[in-house]
This record gives sequence, C-alpha cells and structure tokens, in this order.
Amino acid sequence: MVRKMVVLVLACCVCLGLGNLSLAKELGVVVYQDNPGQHVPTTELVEQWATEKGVKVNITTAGHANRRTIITTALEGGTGPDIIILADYEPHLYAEGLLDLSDLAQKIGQENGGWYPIAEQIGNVQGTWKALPIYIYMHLMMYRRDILQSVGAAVPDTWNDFRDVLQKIKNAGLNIQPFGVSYGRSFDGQQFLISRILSGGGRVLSEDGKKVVFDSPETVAALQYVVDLYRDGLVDPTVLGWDDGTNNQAMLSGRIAFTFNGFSIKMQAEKDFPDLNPNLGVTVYPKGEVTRVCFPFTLSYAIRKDSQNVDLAKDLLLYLFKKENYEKVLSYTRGATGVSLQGFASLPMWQEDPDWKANLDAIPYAQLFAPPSAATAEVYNGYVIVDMIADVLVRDLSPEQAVKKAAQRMEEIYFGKGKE
Amino acid sequence: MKAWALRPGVLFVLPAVLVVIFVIGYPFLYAVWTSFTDKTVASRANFVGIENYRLWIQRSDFWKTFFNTLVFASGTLGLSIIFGFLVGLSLFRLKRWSDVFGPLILLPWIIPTVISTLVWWWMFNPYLGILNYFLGKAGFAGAQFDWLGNPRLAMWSVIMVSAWRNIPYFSLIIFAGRKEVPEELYEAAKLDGADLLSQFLFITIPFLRRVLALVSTLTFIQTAYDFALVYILTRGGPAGATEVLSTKSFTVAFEAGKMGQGVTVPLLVLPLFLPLLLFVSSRIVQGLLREGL
Repeated sequence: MVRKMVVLVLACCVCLGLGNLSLAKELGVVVYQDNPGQHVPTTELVEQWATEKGVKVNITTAGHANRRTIITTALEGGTGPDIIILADYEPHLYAEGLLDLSDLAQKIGQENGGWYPIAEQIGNVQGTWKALPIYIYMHLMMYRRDILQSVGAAVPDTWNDFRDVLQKIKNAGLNIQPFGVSYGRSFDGQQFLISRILSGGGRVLSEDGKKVVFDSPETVAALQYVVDLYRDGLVDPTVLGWDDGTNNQAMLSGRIAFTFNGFSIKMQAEKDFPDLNPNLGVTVYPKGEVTRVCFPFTLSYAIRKDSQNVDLAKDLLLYLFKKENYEKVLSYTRGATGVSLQGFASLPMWQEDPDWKANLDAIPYAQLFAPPSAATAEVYNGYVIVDMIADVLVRDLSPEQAVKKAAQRMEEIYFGKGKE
Repeated sequence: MKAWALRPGVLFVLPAVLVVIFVIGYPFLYAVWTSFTDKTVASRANFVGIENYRLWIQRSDFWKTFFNTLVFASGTLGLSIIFGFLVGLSLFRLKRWSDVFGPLILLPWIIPTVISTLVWWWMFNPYLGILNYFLGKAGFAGAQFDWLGNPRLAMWSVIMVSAWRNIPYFSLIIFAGRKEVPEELYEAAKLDGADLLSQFLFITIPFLRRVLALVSTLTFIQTAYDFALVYILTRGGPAGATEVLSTKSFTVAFEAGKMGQGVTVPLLVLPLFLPLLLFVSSRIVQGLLREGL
C-alpha cells in the first residue's frame, strides 16, 4: 500500500513537472490590431519566430476596446500573456509590474540610429526602460487640395495662416464647411486643442512638476483662438456633438475642407474613395507662436515582471525589432504606424508619397502635454482640457474662467487640493 | 431535535449562500478594502485609511458627478413611471391585442444595451441622425439639435434613452398588476360617479403601490450605477454634463489606473443608497409576501 502511494506521489510530481515545463514553453503575446494593419505582418513574424525556436506561442489580438482589460487583468492577476502591449503613458502607470528592459532598449537603440526623444520619454521610467516603444502614430492635419486651389491658398504653415485659409474658404461661399473636428469629449478634439495650447507656449505643469501652471495668458489665448473659429462660422456648427469618428465621415463625405486626425482618413480614402483621395492632403500641424506640436499615440511592448518566460520573451522582442523585421511591418503599412527609432527615417519608402511621409515628418514635433503619471492620465482621459470649449461655447464662461476652472480640476487631480 | 430538523434546510441553502458570498460578498469586501489603500494597477496596495474618501469629498467634480447621478436616475425613473403607466394600461385596454403588442413592447428591454445605445447614438448624430432629419421634415428647417454635444440637452438625451430601456419593464409590471385589481372595484366606483382620473388615483395606484415602490427603488439604484449607456453616448461629456458615478469611477480606476481612488467613488454614496435597499427588503418585500403578490 505504502509503495503504491509513493509511486502515485512520484507520478504526480513528474506530471506536474512536465506540465510546468510545457507551460514554460508556451509564450503569451498580445498583438494590437490597428487601422494600418500592422498586426498582420506582426502576427506572421511572431509565428515565424515560434517555428524557428520550436516554441508554442499563444497570440491574443487586442483592439482599442479590449486591450486595457487584457493588460490590467494580466498585470493584476499575474497570469496570461508574457508580452503585453501598452499605449501612451501606460509604461509609467504600470511600471511596478513590468520587467526592466534597459539592456534590450540600449541594444535596439544602438543598432537602429537611436530612439526618438518621445520614445524615450514613454519607455524610460525614471532611468529604467520598462517598455520598448515600437510605433508612434501621429495626429495630423488633413486638407482638401482642390478647395485650397479654388480659393488660391497655400497649405497653412502657422495657426494664423490656418485661420486665414478657413476665412477664405468661407468667403468663397463654397458648398463646404471650412473646418471640422470634435469640440466635445473626444480624443481628436482634445489633441487638437492641446497641440494649439502647447504650440502657443501654454503648459500644464511647471518644469519641476510641482505646480499647475495651466492658467496662463498663453492657454487663454489658445482657447480663445479655438472658440473664435467656431463663433466666426469657420467650423461646422455641429462639432460640439461630434465624436472621434464624425470628422472621418465628414471629411470623406466632402462636408469639411480641413480636419485633424490620425492617418486613418487617408487610408480609407485610398481604399474606398478613389475620386477624393488625390485631393486629400496630409501634413503636420500648423506652427504656433512658440513651436510646432503634433500629438502622438504610442504603442510599446513590455514584459510582465512575473513572467516565467523572460528569456524567450526578450528574444521575441529583439526579433520584432530586428532591422529587416521592423522594415517588413513598415513596408506593409507604408509607414502609417510611424517609427520609434531614428535609423528608419532614411528608408527610401518615405520618398514615395509626401502624404504618407507626414507620418515621419511629424515625429520630431511629438510632445507630451505633461509628464507621464496617473494624474496626467486622469486629466487626459477625464477630458479636462477639451471640456473648456463647451464651457465657453455653451455654458457662457469666458475663456479666462474656463481655463481657471480646468486649472482647478488639475490641481485637484495632481495634488488633491480641494476647492479654494 | 430542532437542530436535526433544520439541518437539511441549511444544507439545501448552503450552496446558494456560498455562491452569494463568493460572487457578491468577496468582491464587495475586496472593493471596500481597496478603497482604503493607494492601490494602482500592478502595484502593491498600501493602507491609507480614509484618505481616498477625504480626497473625493473635497473634490468639486465629485459633487457635480453625484448631482448628475441623482438627476439621471430620477429623470429615468420619472419618465419610466409615466410612460410605463401609459403603455401598461393601454396594453390592458387592448386585451385582445396584448399578445401581439406585449412582446413588441419588450423589444427595447431585450436588445443588448450596447447595441441599442449605439443605434440611439447614430440617431442623435447632429447632421446624419434621423432625429434631426425628421425635425427638419416637420418644419424645423435648419434645426440641427446638438443632442449630445450641448450640455443643456445632453443629460435629457441620455435620460430619454435610459427611460426608453426601462419603460417596457414598468409597462409589464403595471400591466400584470392591473390584471390583479378586481373589476368590481371599478364598477362600484363608476356607480358612485368616479371619473377615470379618480379611479386611477384611488384604485389603481393603491393596488400597485407596493410593487411599484419595489420596482422604482431597484430601477433607481440600477440606473444610478449604469455605466454602458452613458459611456457609449457621451463618455460623461460634454464638459462633464453627463458625468455620473460609474463613468467617473471607470476613468479614475481603469483609464488612470488609480484603483483605490476609483473604487471609492461609488462606495462613497453607498450609505445613501443602503437605507433605500434595506427599506425595500424589510418592508416592501415582506408586504408583498404577506399579500401574496
């Protein structure tokens, strides 16, 4: 009887050991599904790597709607995918649960001409690389070439030019609204307003990050500029009710001549609107009084700190960042994903089409609106900045009052200060 | 002897009690614990006492969110009761057709919230939506109501959709309750010269009051914590005009990763909703059981 028990226990141990061994050989990876379709070549590359290494890979395809749920569950539960994909500030928010990837970041940077500054700000958390930014999707200005031609205007280079061009379009009495982007709770609208504020010299926090400095003449002037566009009839009158998709529809249906958006509008035009596409130009944001700012959306790969497959996971990340593999994804998406490494800026593909090159041209102007932190994420996702527009246009606050109100909300979020 | 007699009953109930503890009790207690910590995603939680509660009480946007939640829940409830009565009593009048109309009326209730809300979102679209199209056809030429973009209109639009979802539920309850009211009472009232309004106020309402109180309380609390509908339609905007407790909690807990602070938002108002729930469970349900309704 005792002998049988011992055999049984040993058998169980062997089974468990084998089980663990096989589990350790199964690597979980999250691949992000986006408009440019980078997930297609990325998935192929991951499968190719798995075949070469003889490793079983479990790929989870995540989109905008479910990515955060998958990531937070994996990080909180300590199970699930080993390699996760993080957006924007998330490497800073989830830093405690992420593996130090400084060795990989250094190697990849050295081999590929160095990281863009924006990539370093995203991936490097207080001196330690917690994530490897792989793509930087830029918010860009889209315009109608034929409309500009018909009013005899050039592509606006500054915000003043931009307003003048809109005025010309309005004065021409064409059957088109000069400009349209959401003025309500949306990321497009918020990114447009943030870019306008930062380019004029407005800031959210002081240099040392210890004080909210949002309430400034520069911020007020930028807000005034944006609401004046509306009051002067240069913006589609329904923009307060728009969301992130409405400006896409409006641009593609010929309702508006200008908008600010990710590159998806151009891609859809090329695919489904062949008549419109040649007239749809794409370029960087106009320059403000101080600088030019384009808003970035970044995707970064990271490895869970408690992953049981650290070596395999690191090997796969190195594989994805390998020059020929990175270029494979870039050529599939024609650069619509943007790049995080400066070495890829000299590829011949960028010279093929100036509209597509805007994805590269905008990266040097990428700027974060505040140092990455949970509070910054709350300010952004709580639409604190874009809410100012409705406060002025519908609630009849002055731009000064709206900025003051937003600054007070920021004080509460950053420093927990109550109503003064 | 009594203990033995109880044992089978206890055993029968035990699985259900365990499921409730596991599915409701544990998450609730974990949420309460988290609210006393500085927990963020992927980090270790440190006990911070009542810091999160203190923080929210001091924040102006919390009180605005709380007020919005009360308006949203009360508005939904009010419209649901009014139209629930209209539809439920009409259904009762159309006895022969109630088999046809009954299931049709239930449609808004059985369509998944996400789908029906997205349809409404399209209908509200200021320049492509069917609402503005029909308003234009009805003579409001050029009227492009910004249903979800105007802070003064957005809350009413959200309430309208929420009530639209709840009306079938109320209608059905009222329809079923009305069938239980003895017709003799109405006949006697008619003989005494009572008009329709008096019959409604002094016969129908008193008979339905308990079940209505129950349904209203549950609907109020359910609506106060509704997330999907508000998030899909407005994400709490414009300018926070439709920000409710659930969307605020989601933004803080998941989008900013501050789990401790995020979970505190709905817990902070629990002391206000708890007496309502206790009242329902102790008084109304007992009354309903006593009356056999």
